[in-house]
Amino acid sequence: MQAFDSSDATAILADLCAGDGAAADKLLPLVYDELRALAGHLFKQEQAAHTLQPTALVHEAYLKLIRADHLKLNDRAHFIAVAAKAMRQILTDYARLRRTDKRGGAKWQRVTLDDALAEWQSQNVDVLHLSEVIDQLAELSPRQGQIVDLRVFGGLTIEETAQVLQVGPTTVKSDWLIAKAWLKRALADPCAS
Amino acid sequence: MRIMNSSRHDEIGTHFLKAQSLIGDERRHYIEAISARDPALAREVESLLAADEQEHAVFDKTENVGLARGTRLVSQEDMVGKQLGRYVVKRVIASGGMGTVYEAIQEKPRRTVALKMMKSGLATPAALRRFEIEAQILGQLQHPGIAQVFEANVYDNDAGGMPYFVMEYIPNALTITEFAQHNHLDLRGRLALFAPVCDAVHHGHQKGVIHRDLKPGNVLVDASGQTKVIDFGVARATDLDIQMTTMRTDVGQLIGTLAYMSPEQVAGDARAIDTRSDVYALGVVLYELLAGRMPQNLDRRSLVDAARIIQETDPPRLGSVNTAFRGDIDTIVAKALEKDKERRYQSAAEFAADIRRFLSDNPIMARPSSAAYQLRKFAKRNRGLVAGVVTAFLALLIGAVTAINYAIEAGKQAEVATMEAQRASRRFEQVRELARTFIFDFHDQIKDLPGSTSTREFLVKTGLKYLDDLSKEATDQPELLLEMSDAYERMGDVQGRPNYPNLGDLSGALESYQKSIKILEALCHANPDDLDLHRRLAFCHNRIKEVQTARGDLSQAIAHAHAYLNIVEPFYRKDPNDLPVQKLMAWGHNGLGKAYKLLGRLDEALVEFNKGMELREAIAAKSPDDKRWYRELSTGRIKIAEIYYLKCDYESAIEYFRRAHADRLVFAENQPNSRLAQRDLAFIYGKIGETFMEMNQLDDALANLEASQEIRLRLAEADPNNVSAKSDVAIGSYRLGEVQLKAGRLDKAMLHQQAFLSKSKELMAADSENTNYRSFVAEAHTRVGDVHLQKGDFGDAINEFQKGLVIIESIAENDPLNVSHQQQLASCLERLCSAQRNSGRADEGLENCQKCLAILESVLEREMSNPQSLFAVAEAHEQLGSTWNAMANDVGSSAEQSRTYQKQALAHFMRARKLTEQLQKESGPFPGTKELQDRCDAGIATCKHSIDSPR
Repeated sequence: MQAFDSSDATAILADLCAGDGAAADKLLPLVYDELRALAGHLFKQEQAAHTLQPTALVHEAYLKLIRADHLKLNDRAHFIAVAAKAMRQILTDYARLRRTDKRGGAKWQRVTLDDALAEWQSQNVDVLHLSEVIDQLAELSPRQGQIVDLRVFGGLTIEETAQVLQVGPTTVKSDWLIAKAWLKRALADPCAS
Repeated sequence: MRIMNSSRHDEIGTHFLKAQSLIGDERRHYIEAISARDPALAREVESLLAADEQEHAVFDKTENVGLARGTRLVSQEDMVGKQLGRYVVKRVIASGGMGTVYEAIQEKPRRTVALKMMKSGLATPAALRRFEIEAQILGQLQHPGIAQVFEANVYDNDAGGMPYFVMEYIPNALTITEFAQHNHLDLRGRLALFAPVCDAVHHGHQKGVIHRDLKPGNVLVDASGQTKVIDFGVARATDLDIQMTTMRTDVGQLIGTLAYMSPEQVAGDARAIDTRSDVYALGVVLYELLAGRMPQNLDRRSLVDAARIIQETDPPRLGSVNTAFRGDIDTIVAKALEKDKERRYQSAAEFAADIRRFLSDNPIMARPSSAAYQLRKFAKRNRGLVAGVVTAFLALLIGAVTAINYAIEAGKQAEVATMEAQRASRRFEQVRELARTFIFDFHDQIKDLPGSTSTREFLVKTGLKYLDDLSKEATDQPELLLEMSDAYERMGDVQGRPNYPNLGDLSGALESYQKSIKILEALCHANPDDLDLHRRLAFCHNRIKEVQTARGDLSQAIAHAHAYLNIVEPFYRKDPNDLPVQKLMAWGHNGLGKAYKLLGRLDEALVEFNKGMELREAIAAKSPDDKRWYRELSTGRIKIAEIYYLKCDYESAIEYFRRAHADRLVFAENQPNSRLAQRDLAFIYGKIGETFMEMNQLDDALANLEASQEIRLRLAEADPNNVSAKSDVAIGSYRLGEVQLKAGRLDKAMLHQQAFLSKSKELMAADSENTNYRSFVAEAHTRVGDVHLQKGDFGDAINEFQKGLVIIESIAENDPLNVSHQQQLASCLERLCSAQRNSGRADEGLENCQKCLAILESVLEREMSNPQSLFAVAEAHEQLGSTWNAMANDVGSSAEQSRTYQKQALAHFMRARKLTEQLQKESGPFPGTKELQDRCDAGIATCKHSIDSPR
């Protein structure tokens, strides 16, 4: 197990908020591990499946990793931005693992992540495909890609997203409307990319 | 295939947005206009519009799922000074999770009102409509115990409509708990204050309104003593409770509110909430009002944990918090707090009525739950586990069935196959039955469920019955046999594996382990080269060794430790360089060494630990880069050091501790940030410090203990939520206190021991059901008492010892088999006696000393050959001798009495002396024996002298 503690994460986050862009790369693995551990933890707790939404996991990770009393409110948005990225990574890694190896992964991992995905899966959302089309969108418009990550995997509101990206809420709202329509179309039509 | 680039994408996006904002013909015209100059662009926009019409699980959900509603990053609009309708907002009274309460002035008629502005807007027209309807209903609630809602309205701002309520303003209001405290109300006063709150809530229920957010902050008392329930129905009208329970994201605020939520509310099932949910919340409020604490401590829990606790864990009974509440009032509160709403009071009025029956000394209606009900509840609580384990068992079965099918295909005779199939199907049925009734996950859950012992025993017994049936059938299938042995082993673990949650049924555990061994022996016999089977068998002997150790049958423990080694040794002889076998051997020697150590056969223990150490070093030499193994090396050295310590060879002990330290440093270097490595270092410094203390080199002792404590403090500070880090600090303070006491620096000793006490209390408060922390608090009282004793403040000492005693007694009562509790109890009694004797109350001390002796003798009976137990009994006799002696010397005693007392004293001194001789014969030198003998000899001399020449 990698050794780190909440003070690591808090310190890195402080760097990130102070404008050190490279700090995001350091924070990402911490958050990634924590999210996976959380998924396992929740399973052990015999937790009812319906609370295992990806956004809830992200928020729990924040509470676990960050000593929030040291931070300002908008620092949290920065954290969530990183965590959203980690969450997408986890979900796609997992989906890929399961596609290639039906028996792959520890048992708890399979169960919990399945739960986390249950809502989407019941609607036939293919996470891998979703992730691919988000990447395609990000090529065309990096900001729209970011907005989708923050909203979908981080659970941020329009206003929060605007704070993270340092643009106006109106811009976020327009971009989000376009991104949504574009992604829905891309997901519905496999040739449309 | 669309050819796409960024600028084209942006162009399409712009037109899409514009078109999307238009409707009907306007939209059609707009697209036609684009199509006229760029048909491809128009097609793009049209297809986006069409796609956007489709609902999508991911994106359209996201619209409504903002993270942490209520703690949005956008700041609240400041309302002070603004006019809303006919109200002018004056000042903020309070701000909470749901919204902000202002004091406001109404113009006509002119009066002061409370205005509550909710944080969340009403997002949809449907929500707005429901808000209006609910607001109307709220206006109809008119009851002296309910703060009247005058108006509910919506304030329009850019963020959408913000609902607000205008309510009766209650000047100088206190919350119900503040009021009771402020007026020093006693139990009856508090109940009399509370009953009308139930009446008010009942009134609301009759009007069809559920409060949904009852908590002391919503139950106010005005200056005249009239209770006023505020915020009735506010949660419902604004959907807040549903958001809270289904979103489960806004933690800080939610935890506080969560504590008052019923299990059905926490489950997030809005339809399951009814008036009985309010009854539950009232129960929590009453619990808090009476006990001065919450039924369950949810602080620092994650939301998920908190919710689980509310749904699954029964709070400690009110009567266990304070014995004054035992009986009816305990039953009443417990009935309100039932997890199953069907079992609660069915209305707030019933609740109030039972409270009033109690107040007028009439029999109450509530009844304590029956055993049968407890059993059902247990099963229900563990439903998830049951399902999980059944699945696991089914997987095993499928494996077995496949094997049988394979056998059939391989051309076995049809007849055999049928027999096999029949057996398999019978087995299937039986195992399924077994899974249904017995397989709850005992391992982790058991300790968290207070009061379920009888239930668990029943379950274990049922499980065993099925296992035994199965074992009669399974005579020739290795797979099945292996499974069986595993099952017996698990069963044994549940029954009595020491240091794991268990039922304390040690002989039951032995029986199960023996059954497992019997099966494994047969399998090993058939497969003499199968290391895995032999490993299992060896481990099973190790389990028995642990149980026998706990039972105090150390010779049996040693026999099984030998059995372990005998099983592994042939493999080792065959290939002394095989790494897994080397490790097994190292552990085996270690295990045997531990048993010898407990028996006091220190030389033999040393031999075993050294053998283990050689193997460990061989393994390390083989893979020098495996830094993790350095931890094992260091552990091995510590074991050796500890033996030297016991042999009073402190120089060698220090030497080995230092080498262990060096190994740990290598381990730590490899993981500079590792808390584990740091903790290990702190542990070793602590050990070295203790050793120096024994050597009476108190400065060195202090330096090492301080180094240890420094690390502990650093670790605890880095991770304030880590309970074990905190408990390490507590122990560190204790050690520092001990060394300062020995150095005669009593004030410093007192400071450390008081730090130990306060840290222990914090730990206990955070986890009141953890026996360890309760026993910490008891020990801390004892140690503070020790310092008082040294200072000569006997009264204070007695006081502390008695505080400690009460706690240990309750711990020991709950866990009578645990020897260490008994020992702690005895040592506290002994100190109390000594303090009482010294303060001229030898007669009171006598009783405590006798109790102490009785306890130690019963411990000795269980641990016949444990030298420590023998020594303790000897010590107790010596204490008793001193106490009788003190009584004889008391001026109040007559010459006749004095003589009788001296004879008693003499008998105990002589008995003590004899026991120390026995100890020396059996176990060799034991630390402290010499001193004890000197004290006995002095006592014997004094007594003889007094008897021969009475005063």
